Amino acid sequence: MSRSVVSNITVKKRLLFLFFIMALTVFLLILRLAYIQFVMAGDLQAKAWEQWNRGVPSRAPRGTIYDRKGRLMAGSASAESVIALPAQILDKEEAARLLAPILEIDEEKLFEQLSQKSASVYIKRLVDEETAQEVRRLNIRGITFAQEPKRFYPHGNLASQLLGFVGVDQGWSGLEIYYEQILKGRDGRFEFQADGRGRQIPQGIQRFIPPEDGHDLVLTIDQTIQFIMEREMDRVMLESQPKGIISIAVDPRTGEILALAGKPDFDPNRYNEFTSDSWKLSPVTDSFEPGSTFKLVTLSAALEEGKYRADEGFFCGGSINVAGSSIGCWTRGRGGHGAIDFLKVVLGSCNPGFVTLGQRIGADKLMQYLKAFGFGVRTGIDVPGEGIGILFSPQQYGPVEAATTAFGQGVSVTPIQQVMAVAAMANGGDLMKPYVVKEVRDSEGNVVRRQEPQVVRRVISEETTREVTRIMELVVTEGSGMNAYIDGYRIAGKTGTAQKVGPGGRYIGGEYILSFIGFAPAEDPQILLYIAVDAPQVGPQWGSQVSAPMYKRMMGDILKYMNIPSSKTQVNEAPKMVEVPNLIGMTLEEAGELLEPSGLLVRLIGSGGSILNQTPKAGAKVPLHTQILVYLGGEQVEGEVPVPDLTGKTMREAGEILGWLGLVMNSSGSGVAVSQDPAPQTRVNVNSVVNVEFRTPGDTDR
Amino acid sequence: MFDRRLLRNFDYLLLLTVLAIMAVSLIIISSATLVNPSGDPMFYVKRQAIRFLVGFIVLIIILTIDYTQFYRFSHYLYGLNLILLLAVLFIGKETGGAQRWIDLRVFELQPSEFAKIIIIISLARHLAAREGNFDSLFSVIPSFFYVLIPMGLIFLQPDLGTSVVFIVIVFGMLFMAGAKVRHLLTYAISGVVIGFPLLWLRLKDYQKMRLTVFLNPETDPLGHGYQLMQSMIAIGSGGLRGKGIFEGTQNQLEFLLEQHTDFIFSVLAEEAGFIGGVVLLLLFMLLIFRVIRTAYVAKDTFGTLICIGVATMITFQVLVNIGMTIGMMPVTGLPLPFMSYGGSSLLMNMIAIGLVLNIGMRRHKLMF
Repeated sequence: MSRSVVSNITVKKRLLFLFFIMALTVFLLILRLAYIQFVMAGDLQAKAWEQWNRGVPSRAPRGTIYDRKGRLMAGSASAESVIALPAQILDKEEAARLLAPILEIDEEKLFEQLSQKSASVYIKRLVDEETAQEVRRLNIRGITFAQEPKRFYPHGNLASQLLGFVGVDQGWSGLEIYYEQILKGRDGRFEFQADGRGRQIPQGIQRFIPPEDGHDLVLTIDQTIQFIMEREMDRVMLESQPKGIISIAVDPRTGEILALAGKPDFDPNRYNEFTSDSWKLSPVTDSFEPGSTFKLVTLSAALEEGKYRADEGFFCGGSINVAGSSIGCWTRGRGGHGAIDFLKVVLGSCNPGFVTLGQRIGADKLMQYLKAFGFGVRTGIDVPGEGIGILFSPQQYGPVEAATTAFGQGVSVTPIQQVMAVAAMANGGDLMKPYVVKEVRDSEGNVVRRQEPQVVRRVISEETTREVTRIMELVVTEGSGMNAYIDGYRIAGKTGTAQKVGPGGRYIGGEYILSFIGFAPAEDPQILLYIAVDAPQVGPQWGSQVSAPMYKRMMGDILKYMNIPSSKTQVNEAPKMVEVPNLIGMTLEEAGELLEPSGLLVRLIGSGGSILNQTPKAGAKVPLHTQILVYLGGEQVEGEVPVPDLTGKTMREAGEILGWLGLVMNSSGSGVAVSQDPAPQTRVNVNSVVNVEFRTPGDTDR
Repeated sequence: MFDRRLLRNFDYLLLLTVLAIMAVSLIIISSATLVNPSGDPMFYVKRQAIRFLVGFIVLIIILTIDYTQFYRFSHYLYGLNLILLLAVLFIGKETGGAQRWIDLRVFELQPSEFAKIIIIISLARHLAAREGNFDSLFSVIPSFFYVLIPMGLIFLQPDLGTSVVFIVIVFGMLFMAGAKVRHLLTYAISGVVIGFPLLWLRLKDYQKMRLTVFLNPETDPLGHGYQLMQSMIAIGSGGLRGKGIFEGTQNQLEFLLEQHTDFIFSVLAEEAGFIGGVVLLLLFMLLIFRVIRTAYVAKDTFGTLICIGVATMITFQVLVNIGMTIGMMPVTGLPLPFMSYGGSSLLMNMIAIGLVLNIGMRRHKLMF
């Protein structure tokens, strides 16, 4: 039994070898252990955390948005989400079969969700109350609910682009995204520890982190002004079928935005039914060539520099030569304005006259004024996606460019820039920073943050602003702005008719942006209103015919709403009666030039190049703002109108809208419009009957 | 009968190493079974502590018997082993599709565990008796058959893991007994080439799944890969220092399954981290080293071979069990020596260490 045959040396060698193999084994295990615990540790730790820390979110109620008078604009209601706890569902197939039709989910997909190996699965978010009730009635073990806030916008489309909407869990556009951090608060969590089988451990750590409510926003927006504005915009959208309308109302003294809208817009309650284009806040994001309204900037600069005297004579021959290029006036067709004075240059919106003013100011000085008025930089308004516009760069900026800039061509500005520049003319010379959120309040109503008016800089003297205001008043009383005249008030304004620039930088023939900017009352400006109508497809494309009357209707209602007494110091008054000019035989373009400062409203009938007839006849004296009918050649296609989408409108609104189009409403039920016949966009004859069914919200009987 | 002078050669370090591993085991079991159906958080720890005590007594009893006595009785042991293994096939308790236990009322005997130590003893005798006769390729065949019979019975239970332990033991001991390396390699390679496909056909589906799933556990995260994934998550989330004893989330929250038996290493690595894992592995390395050292100093080939059998067995079980928890090895039910909760395995390991200590302290012929 003693060791003899196998030599000691062999034994030693083989033992060493065996030990080496065994030590190597242990070493390999250590290496692999190190790999898992150091290299893979991060991932695995995350997985571990995920596995055992189960939390039922307790969402913070999102902050409410109020208008400046405390009226609700966006609120949160609580809705329920259906949650499954797969571990507790005994018969998953049965559960899927029962739930699928109620929740309108594919049965197989639902079954898969129910079979997931996780503690809880969202089956359907934010279901309505009936659905929740039906699910509750089934009483399936392992199916529970979580309360979640659901955003609602009581006024539908009203200020929708400004307010934005809340998509899944967070704001996606407008103020909802800009003020996301303030509005959303902090979600709370009920945390509990769950074991490997998804059961809550009784002795496990439990804690409830209460949600921190979102803060409320109080806007500078006045809901009524916003409503008045949008009502008029909707009306013009129907009547003139433009591609879009932009409108801004601001308090020129403070920079507070009173109303802000772009059309077409959307209903944030059903945002996904609209294109994402309709979500953006076009008055702030878009920029375009300003046209005549921009002339106010040149006028202010010329006044400030002492280069403008209203009674100084000027001759407009229809064009002006600048460094070898001929720059035309819009009156070129009839040989220009002729011999006028510089007051008429402004009232008649004479391009050569403004070129001359620009030249007197000097190209560099003019550019300094543009920049001082805030063009070429963002205003800093507290909404997302503000545009910046384009000014000529120093390299591009030659005499021709300076000349076109002087009357608002070749530059591109955002509506909000234009508005704030004119606000400086209205308020005594200060460029204000525009803002829409006045106050941030916590859930107890304490003011957390208050926005005070902010002067960016002083641009022009008060004296200059007085003169600009006086001239703008004259535009309304005797110039192209006569259709904006409101009896009893001193209204300052300026029309604009700018040819549209296409994507390639060329002007698009026949497409104009018709704008109007003005403020009231002129002696103490409290509200400044800007309107831009993009390429109306129906009716004349003249600012005096589209944007000026719109301004009149909006401003009139706003002044009334704001209880602003009529002006006592009315210096200029528009004539009460105007004479109808002879339009017969004229082209539409020629007629436009003539009608622009006429104080008459035009309704075109038929289609064709020249005017065949008119009522009333030429020479007749009619009251200001009388509508004259102009018959064009061609067949009479008058009367075909598209039926508007009335969904969500009240009966009164729907009746009003249909009335604008000459349609008759046949209503049934009460509440808001839920269905209509014919369907939206169907073309029908005027005087056709549109059947509209109304229903009280919440009173659903499926 | 027991000479105090024997204690001069007693390997205290080996015994201390075993006791250290046992201490670690009790701590980790207490953490792994803190929440258990009995309601007593110490329920499992107490039971295992008693087994340690019993194991210790058995170890001492083994020490008192000169190991050369086992040489004489090894044939009887071999026979007893076969009877028990046959018995388990007929009267064994079935759990989880396998019949491995005989209910002895006091405790459940797992004959396959004892088969390991019995085969080490009897194979040591078998080989020692034939020492020097392993020069030809065929000379080792009888030894294979000697082991194949009990191994086959275990395979039938079925218990693939333990069966493989037998193969490793045979190769280790044959190598030590002087078999030519190239012969052993020939058998090993042909065994894999011929045996593996045959084995594959015999395997039950769950065994196949276990064998393959470790290669890519995420293919089946809810079924067979689940335990493996959970083990990796537990270990990986432990990091360098671990989450602290009793603080392992994966362990405490029952994401880990069988955490006090097969996956006890995962609990250790989660709660004591890399440091804890390495300390345990180094303890095993020390243990193996002491056993190999005893193999070297043993006074006869029988003793040397027993030591090698024990060292091979322990190393292989450590490799397979820990390898399984860290995704290096397929999931098999092999317990971690001295660590996993359970009686038979512990008792067998205590006997094995007892034998090694026995061989170590009787390395010199005593002078009376």
